[in-house]
Amino acid sequence: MRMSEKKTLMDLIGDIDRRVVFGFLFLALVGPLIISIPLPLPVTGFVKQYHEFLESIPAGAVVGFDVELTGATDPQLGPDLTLVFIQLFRRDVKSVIWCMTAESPVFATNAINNALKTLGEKGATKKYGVDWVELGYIAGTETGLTALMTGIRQVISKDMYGKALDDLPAMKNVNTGKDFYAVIWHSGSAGSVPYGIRQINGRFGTPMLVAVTSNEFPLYVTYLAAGQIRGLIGGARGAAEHETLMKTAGLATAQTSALALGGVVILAMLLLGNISYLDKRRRQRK
Amino acid sequence: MSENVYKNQLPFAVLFIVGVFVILTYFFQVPPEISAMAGDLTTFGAVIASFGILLGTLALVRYHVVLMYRKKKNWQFSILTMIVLAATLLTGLIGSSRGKDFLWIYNYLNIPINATLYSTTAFFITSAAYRTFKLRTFDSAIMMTVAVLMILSWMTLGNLAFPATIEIGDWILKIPNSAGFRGMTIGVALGLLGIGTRAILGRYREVLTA
Repeated sequence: MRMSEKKTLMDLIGDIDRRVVFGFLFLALVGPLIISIPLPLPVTGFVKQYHEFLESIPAGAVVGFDVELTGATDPQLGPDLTLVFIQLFRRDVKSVIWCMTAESPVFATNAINNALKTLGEKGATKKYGVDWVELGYIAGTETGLTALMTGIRQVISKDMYGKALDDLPAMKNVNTGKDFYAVIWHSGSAGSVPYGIRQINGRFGTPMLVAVTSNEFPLYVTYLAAGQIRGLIGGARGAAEHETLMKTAGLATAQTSALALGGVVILAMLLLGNISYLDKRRRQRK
Repeated sequence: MSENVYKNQLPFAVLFIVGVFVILTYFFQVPPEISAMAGDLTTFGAVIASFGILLGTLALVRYHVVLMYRKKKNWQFSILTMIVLAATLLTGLIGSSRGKDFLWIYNYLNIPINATLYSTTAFFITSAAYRTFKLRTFDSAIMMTVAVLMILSWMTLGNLAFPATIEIGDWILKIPNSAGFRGMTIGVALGLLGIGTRAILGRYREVLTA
């Protein structure tokens, strides 16, 4: 197009400045976080299964808990991590937590502290070593996990606070992946879920529950259909659905309103880009 | 001769022994002695990986020291990296990894920076979708239709306006998505099995030079 040619409306629609697109998306994402927009949230079968499995764990059972959250994925899945701990503590289920990402142990500790605070008096009765144990960072990715699930005490003799595992009541009779009632895998986008499926579910048949970021969600639906995992949470939307089932509208619920408006912006931009493109093609054919 | 033993024969012998033990215990019921031996070998793997963190830190320090010493392009950022590394390491070592100072660095620097960088992808994806995701061919039209349906099924406003998108989204995830992903996973697994067998038998020499 020559400089002298006047731009048509269609040209303008097809050539919106990148900064304007960013601006629209920013407003769509930030607006609902400042001004609450309550939207009905239908609960999908994936999350229903996840919630129902957690509710079916008997009191006193010990679950394994892999936490892989990082600073990048915590905004999506942090609210759900806290929610799962609330659910476990409320039901008097014990948990043994490990991380295969070096920066994740802090997120597990933060989520536990938040859960205990939310539970108030019930939270105050919970004791480290009795109700939960933090093993800390385990190096070696899948090999590290294989070693840990083959014999926890062979890999580490102390928890991350330096306490001997044999002195912690929650660790009594727990030494392999077979000893857990279930394993909850809060992976973020670490891509580590198949490690758990191969080394825990595949070897011992221990049921698994999985929470991943929304971009990883489609990858693991197939494992749910095969029965290798029993419930699946995908990103902030999944976490919000879990909040709905727990009847506690929190951060994830607020995020879904932002996601909804953000989705509208993405769809609108797709539409505008294609209207302009089709018009341009029509003109070229003429 | 001795070089060949150290560089080829010995590593492949170790690879063969470790590979066979671990595979045997995964796929077959083996006597407890063999199972214990395989367990020890796997534990070695976890221990070696722990040393890898130390090695990684040393390699990072060495890399940045060289950059600073030679005053290569943007060497000033290396000073910043070293200061942050030293500060994080010292606060962790002195006050423990659950100490106030260490957690301050973590909660008020690391997490917001990470979250910010990750969030910016939403902006670039939107801009890229606007500029490049066009109805050029029949294939791209199918892809666009699926993408729009998935976005609608994923966002609450979409569910509200078009309730059927929930069911459609579920169906896309469970049927076509699962079928494609399963095929891909099985293909990758078979490929890995082939490469693994070749590596254990010493037929895939690149495994030691990768």
